[in-house]
Amino acid sequence: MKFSPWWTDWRRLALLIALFALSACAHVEPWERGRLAQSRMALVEDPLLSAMNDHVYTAKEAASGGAGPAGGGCGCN
Amino acid sequence: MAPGQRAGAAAATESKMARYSKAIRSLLATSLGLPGMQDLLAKELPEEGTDYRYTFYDEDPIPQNRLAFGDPRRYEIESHQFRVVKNIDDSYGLELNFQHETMSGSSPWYAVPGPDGPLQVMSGATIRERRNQADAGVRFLRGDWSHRAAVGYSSENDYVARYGSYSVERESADSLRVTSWGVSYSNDDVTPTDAREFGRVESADRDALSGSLSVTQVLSRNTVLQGGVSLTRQSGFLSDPYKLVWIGGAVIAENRPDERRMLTWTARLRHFVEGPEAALTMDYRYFRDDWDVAAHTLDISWKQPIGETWEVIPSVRYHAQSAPDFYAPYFLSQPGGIHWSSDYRLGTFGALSYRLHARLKGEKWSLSMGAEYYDSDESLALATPHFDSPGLVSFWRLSAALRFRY
Repeated sequence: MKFSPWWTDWRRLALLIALFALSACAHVEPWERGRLAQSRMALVEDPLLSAMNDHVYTAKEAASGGAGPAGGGCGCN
Repeated sequence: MAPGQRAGAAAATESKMARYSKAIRSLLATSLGLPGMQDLLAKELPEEGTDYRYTFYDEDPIPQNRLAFGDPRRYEIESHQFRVVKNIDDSYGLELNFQHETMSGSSPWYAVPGPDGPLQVMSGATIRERRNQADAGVRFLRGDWSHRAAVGYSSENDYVARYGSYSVERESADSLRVTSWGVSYSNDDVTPTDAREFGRVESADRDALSGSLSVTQVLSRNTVLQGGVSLTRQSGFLSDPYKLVWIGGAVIAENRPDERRMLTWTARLRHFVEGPEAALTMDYRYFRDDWDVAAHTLDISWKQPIGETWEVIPSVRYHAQSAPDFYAPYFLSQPGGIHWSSDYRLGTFGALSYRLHARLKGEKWSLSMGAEYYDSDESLALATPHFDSPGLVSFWRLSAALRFRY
């Protein structure tokens, strides 16, 4: 497989833009956001658990990234 | 707005408020600030508090029928994590994280041909080492913008990493969308143990530079979606100094390319399910790089409250990846290219992980316990595996965590 940067990956980029363009039509009033404010709805509810998950899976798999700014590597083998 | 209109608008708002629960009215009473949304939206600092998490990680031994020689017992890791979040005022906040790990066990070295497929050679002596990692971050708010800068340091006897990151988020005027940009950099030193005795590289370094962009959008009163993309470039010594390769009967060090460009696409969905009052979370990542590795990862959780104080969270994670051209468990003759690796982690395989967490919540504290079983195998791959990888790992992970909020 030949690597190409993300901006040439038009299908995924178009899908992402279309998704957010559609979603921009939605309107949720402030008083309707109570459920979104529950901790279980957070994108990262438990930072320590998320960090440990990333650490373990990155050490055992070839893929990594996608969880925000990366930390340092480790000599995990 | 004229005073009469203002009064009318306030009455209309009151009328809408009356339809909602006491908890939501309480939130509205505090100037419509939603404390739980600081993770989602940019105008709030994180909640202050202290977290501690203990994790015990235990890999299953290599089966005897897949072992050539060496110690079949694999890694055990005990890990302690601490986190403190303290806000200086309404605009500035500090985060401190510390992690200490102790590791012991043996590690896969290389594979050799066997009568029924490759057999794994493990390191003979038990490896024992420690790792300490500390990082500190500062977050500050300016209008609709939130900035975060962090630096960190990780040290073990044969590896040191120094890293830093900066990210900025901007919230839309209607507070329904947050756009985030981030960059991070890491500089790592590799100094393998027993380098001269085993002919390993004595000292080497590697760098990683990464950039990311994400958009988080409230889709409805029950649903939030985040889409993101990140690019990472690694350069330097990217091989594992302990991994070896069997080539036509000779055993030599693995040799990976000294540059790697990686791309991820991510989608994260949070959906509130009204009947059981539960949250469904789905995280998907597509990964590929210029080593020809491609991977799909899907992680799904169901967060179910039970009564006022308990929460149970079953989850499942699936990962599938394809191997680079320079990977094989062993090579019968000299490979055509100049790179080669038999590190099972680069092979074509799939992995399934099952997790169960339970959490007990008080007003200012929570206690959680969790267990995970992870199993990787060629038969779980999406791509057709060309080789068996006898080193593929299965492990248990048990954890306990305490959280206090000020």
